Amino acid sequence: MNQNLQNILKLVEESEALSAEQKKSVADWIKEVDKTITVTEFKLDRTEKVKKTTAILLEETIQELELKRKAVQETNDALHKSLEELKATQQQLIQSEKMASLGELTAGIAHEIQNPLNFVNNFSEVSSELIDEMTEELKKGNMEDAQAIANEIKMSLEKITVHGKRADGIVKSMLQHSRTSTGKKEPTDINALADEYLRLAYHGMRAKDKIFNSAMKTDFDESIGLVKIISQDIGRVVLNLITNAFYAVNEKKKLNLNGYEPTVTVTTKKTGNKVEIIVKDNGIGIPQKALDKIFQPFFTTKPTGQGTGLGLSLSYDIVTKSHGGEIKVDTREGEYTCFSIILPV
Amino acid sequence: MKAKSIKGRSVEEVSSALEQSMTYDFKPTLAIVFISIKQDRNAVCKILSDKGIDVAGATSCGEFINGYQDQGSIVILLLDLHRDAYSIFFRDVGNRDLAEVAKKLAHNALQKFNTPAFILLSTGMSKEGIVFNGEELINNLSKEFGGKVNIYGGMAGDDYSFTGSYVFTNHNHTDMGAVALVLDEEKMGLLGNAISGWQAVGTIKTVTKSEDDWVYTIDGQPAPEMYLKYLGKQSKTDEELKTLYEDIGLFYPFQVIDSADPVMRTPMMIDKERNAIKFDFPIPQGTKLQFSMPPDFDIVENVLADADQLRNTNRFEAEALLIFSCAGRLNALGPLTNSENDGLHEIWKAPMAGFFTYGEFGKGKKDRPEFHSTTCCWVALKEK
Repeated sequence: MNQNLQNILKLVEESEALSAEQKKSVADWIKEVDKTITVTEFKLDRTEKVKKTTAILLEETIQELELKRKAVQETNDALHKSLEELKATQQQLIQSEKMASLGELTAGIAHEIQNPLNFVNNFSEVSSELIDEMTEELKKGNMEDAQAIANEIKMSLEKITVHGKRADGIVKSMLQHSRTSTGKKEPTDINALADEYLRLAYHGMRAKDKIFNSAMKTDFDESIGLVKIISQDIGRVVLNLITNAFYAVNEKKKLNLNGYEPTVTVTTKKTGNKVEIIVKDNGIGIPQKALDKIFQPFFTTKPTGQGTGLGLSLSYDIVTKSHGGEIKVDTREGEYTCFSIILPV
Repeated sequence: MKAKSIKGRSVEEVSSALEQSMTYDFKPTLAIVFISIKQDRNAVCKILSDKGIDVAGATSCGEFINGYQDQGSIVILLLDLHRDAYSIFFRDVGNRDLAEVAKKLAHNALQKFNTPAFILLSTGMSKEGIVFNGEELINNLSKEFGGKVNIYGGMAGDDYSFTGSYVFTNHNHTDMGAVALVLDEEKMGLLGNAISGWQAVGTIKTVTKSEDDWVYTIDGQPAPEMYLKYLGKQSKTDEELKTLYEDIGLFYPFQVIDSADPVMRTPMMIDKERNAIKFDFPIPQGTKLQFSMPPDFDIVENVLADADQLRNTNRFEAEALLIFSCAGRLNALGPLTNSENDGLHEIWKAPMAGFFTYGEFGKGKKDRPEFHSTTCCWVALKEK
């Protein structure tokens, strides 16, 4: 017991002024006060102890948190760097896919260029012969005939120009296809674009596989007019879908089914404020289990080395993200596949 | 059932208190004894045996009954209870498999009663310094009943001397075993709870090197250095480090947070040569743990409010009360443990006895018996 309280208790006990009952009451009060003092002293002591520990713990915790913050920051930076690298890799992949599709087109392009070149060569030879004839006539002083031949030469040279420009257009188109997209939407003749890529894809297939053959049907809605699109990108989507369609009909043809006629149809149509490009084939179709994965990057059903698995994934991004459109697929395994690109006008 | 609690600072005082307690209408059959290792427990057992009283007892780190708390003394809860309602099993476990011990104990209890309940007293630390795995014992015992069993009790203490703690009956004692006072729940009602109040603080740390109950490094740093630094105790002398348990181990145990239910692990001592901390239980490498701080002072009110609520909800009127309070509470709550223990007695208004333990057994937050440390674990008893 506290010494002062002990002294008070002693005084009370020795006091003659207080009754025994009163002494007991005072003694109880003193004991209660002593208990309170003891508890308070203990609380103070423990509070001091805990306060000290808490302060140290807090300091250490702050230090640890700072270390962890730094670690998080470093991880964040590394992640950021990885993301940048990933973006760069993605761009490279897109370019690779573009070049891969360009490769597929090479044969078709060569075929397309060959025609105008033939014309150019033929008309050049013809023009040369005509000049010889004209020289003869001039020597003879037959001016009328010389004039007529000169007119023919002019017509021949005009044809050379036309076919030269055609070849020039094809080369430019090829370069445009391989170039990084500008991302700029420009008024484009969708029907012409679809037609061009249909033919290019067909000749591409033919060049790779001499026995490949397929009927090509087109049904273009002439009311579409010009539509503002990123033509390089949509061209790639259309080319990808048509190439896939040719692949599908070719695979089915290999099954030697009786009466099977490979057919790829490209249709365009305008419905309200939307334009639709539909590529339909009567090929092998897409298995149901693969259907929900076809737009995932690197997914392909083609044998190794024959597909990058990026074509439909990039097509999906081009249509949905760059053009705010939709790309839909309808298929039945062994019967048909129909892809629809729906673009807002 | 009638009950009385008695105390004494010597065998003679207890003998005298026993004589005074025994009246024509109170003839105790059972004595639950909590005794300091400084006292002569054999002499106490002989006095009780001579009176034909059965004994279930444990050594302690401080003893208390209603209105009295002391260290180095003897307290006894005397019960005048029909011998059909209880049975005492003594188990000197030694090196035996605790799962097997628990299985046999459950089997024996079920042979005796359809619905047994246990007041389980186990040893804390043997003479050789080996900590009894009370957790394994209660988990296995509880498992034998699918968790649907009442088990309350505590692990014996030795006045923080680590020279060996004991459990005993009239004629047997061990420093590595248990005494189970098995009650017939068809005749006896039990209601209890265990509340800790210690709170995890600071960041989560990982044990990076350990061997059994020795922890060498935490987060790659020497464990003793880190522990003492955190607690601002770097200046401890070698001698002081040997009594780490009493000084700060009980005050700042670790909370192991690997499982869904955090468990306390108490640093027992620091060995400077090994540069490691010895814990009360093995701590595997990779264990995640946090420091923990002793409860706020209002924990006493919380313990009491919880007991009061349980009493009212269950409409339970106790005839006797046992309290198993962690030795760490005595350090962390000091004189407030008096308020806690006496407060519980006030609520139940029944004779009470208890001791400061090296671990507690009882139902806590979950509806099944568990091993605890740092808790105030109590059980109220009545005859149906």
